[in-house]
Amino acid sequence: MRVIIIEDSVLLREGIARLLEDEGIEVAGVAGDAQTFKVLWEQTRPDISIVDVRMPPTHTDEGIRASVELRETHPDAKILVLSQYVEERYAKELLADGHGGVGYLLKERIADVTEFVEAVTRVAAGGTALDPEVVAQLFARRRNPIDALTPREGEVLSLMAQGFTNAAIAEQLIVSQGAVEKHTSSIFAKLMLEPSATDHRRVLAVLQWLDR
Amino acid sequence: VSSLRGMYDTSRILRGTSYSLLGLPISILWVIVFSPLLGVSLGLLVLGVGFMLFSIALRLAGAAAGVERWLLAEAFRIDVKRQPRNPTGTGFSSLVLDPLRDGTYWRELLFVYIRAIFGPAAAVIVITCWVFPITAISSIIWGWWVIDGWTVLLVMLGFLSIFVGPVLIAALTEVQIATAQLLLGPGQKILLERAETAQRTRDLSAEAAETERRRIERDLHDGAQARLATVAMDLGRAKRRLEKSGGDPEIESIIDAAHQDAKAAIVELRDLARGIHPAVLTDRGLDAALSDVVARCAVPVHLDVRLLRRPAAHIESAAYFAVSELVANISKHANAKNAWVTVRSTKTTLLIDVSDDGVGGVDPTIGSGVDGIHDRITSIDGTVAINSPLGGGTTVMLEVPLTESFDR
Repeated sequence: MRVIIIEDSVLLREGIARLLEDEGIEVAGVAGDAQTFKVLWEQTRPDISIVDVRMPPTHTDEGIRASVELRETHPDAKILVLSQYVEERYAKELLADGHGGVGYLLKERIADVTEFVEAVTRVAAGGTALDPEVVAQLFARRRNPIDALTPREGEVLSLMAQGFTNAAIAEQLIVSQGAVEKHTSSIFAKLMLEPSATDHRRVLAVLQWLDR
Repeated sequence: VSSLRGMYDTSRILRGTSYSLLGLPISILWVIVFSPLLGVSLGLLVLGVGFMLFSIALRLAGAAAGVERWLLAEAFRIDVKRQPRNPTGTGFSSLVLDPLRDGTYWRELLFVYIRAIFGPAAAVIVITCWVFPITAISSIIWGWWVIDGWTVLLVMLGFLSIFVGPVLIAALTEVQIATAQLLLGPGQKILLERAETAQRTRDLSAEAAETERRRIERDLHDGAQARLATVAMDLGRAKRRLEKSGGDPEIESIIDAAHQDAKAAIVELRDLARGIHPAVLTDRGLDAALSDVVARCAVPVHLDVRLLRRPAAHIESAAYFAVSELVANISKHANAKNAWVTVRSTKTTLLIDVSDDGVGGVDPTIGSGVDGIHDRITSIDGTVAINSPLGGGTTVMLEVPLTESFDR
């Protein structure tokens, strides 16, 4: 796998690069601002770009805007955005095109190497990785609490929204995959959602439902 | 009763008496100084030199007003502030023309004029108030051999004047003070300007403090937070390598502990930075920043923010911290199942409503744990209303005026 890292802090950029190289992931290039990002992407055509939200010149949401613009012209570009804080609208803007292959994680997640590398791999493969805090915010946003679901179903829904496969959910909750499948079909029935073919479609369906 | 006591305030009456009595010599002094000067200058007005003399008279009136202000301060402990002079230059023409153009000098001259005319009258009234009761009542002594109707009437008036006299002196004193404040004090325009300047200064210093907090947050983000994140990443790498190579379990547990600590430090530092200034507030405004706050609350909070436009940074910041504190209070004390945060704006007002269905009974008085919120909101000229019946949930309403000039 080949990645490029777009991050204005040299310290973090080098740190992420070391970490990925340790895991056998090739760092094809690094950049420190949004303009260079697009040029670098064109040159290297990486499997995935890891992009910081806050970059020069305004240090606000350059990373998000550059990512959305890039995916307008190249819908197959896979992007994992790293953010200092959670802003669910960033996630929505990224997910809006419905193509999959996007992720949005808090920066501090990088420290959990296994999970971070797993998220990078998942997004590179066309999946989704949403930070649990983003999902928590989306849940908090709902005017009507999700009363219909059992607590376990709520946990499964949250993990589904984060982009995990049934297998990964089963592993995290320490239950069988069959049990997770039972939960998911129950959730889809209760929320009156169409069962979705891919995990990414599933994330979109859940997010749209949360946003309703 | 208090107004009665006010009327018969002995010290006030004595001070009023001395002030009015002093009015007599002062009046004579002003007449001696100003009558010839004004007479001559008005007579010579057709010649240019009259203007110069009149200008001198105005400047003298300014000095006389200084004496009058000193008298007021000595007699009544009243500090009548003089409107600041605005010299337009140091040349001869501005020296002559400045007093003619400056309304303050004219008001001061008018006051001196009023004092010169009414000063003796005030003194006479005060003297009468003191002397009449004594002479009227004692008339029975010096005219004891003719107790006729006139004497009885005089004595009765004498007793009556014991009560009326002080009231008259007090009223006269008030009138004189009011006149002095009106003519010697700063004009209405100046007071308004001062209030505006004070408001502007406060807004600007709030903005400056806001900018400074943002800078500290940025420094933390670019410095310590980034470095700590790198440390945690490297410890994570070390952990992975040890896991893969099956190294020393003791070293593994040390590295693992360090890794956990570094991650905890990242979270703590992030919370600290957020307490100084939440970056999301600057970047995305109240809605985004508050959704971050409510998502971390133990009680489910229903957030609804609809703003016409973004308020000024210091207002946004005060509103953010006030709501944060209220939400924290709900999760700590309210024992609530649900909470609601609603933020709305009109063209002139920001309205925030934070409510819960908890135990209620919040003491809305100052000094009861809502001080912080109260301070934040009053510092931006807002108001706080709390409704918290025991067992009936709590509703806190914040209302903050929005100043157009500071909006974004």
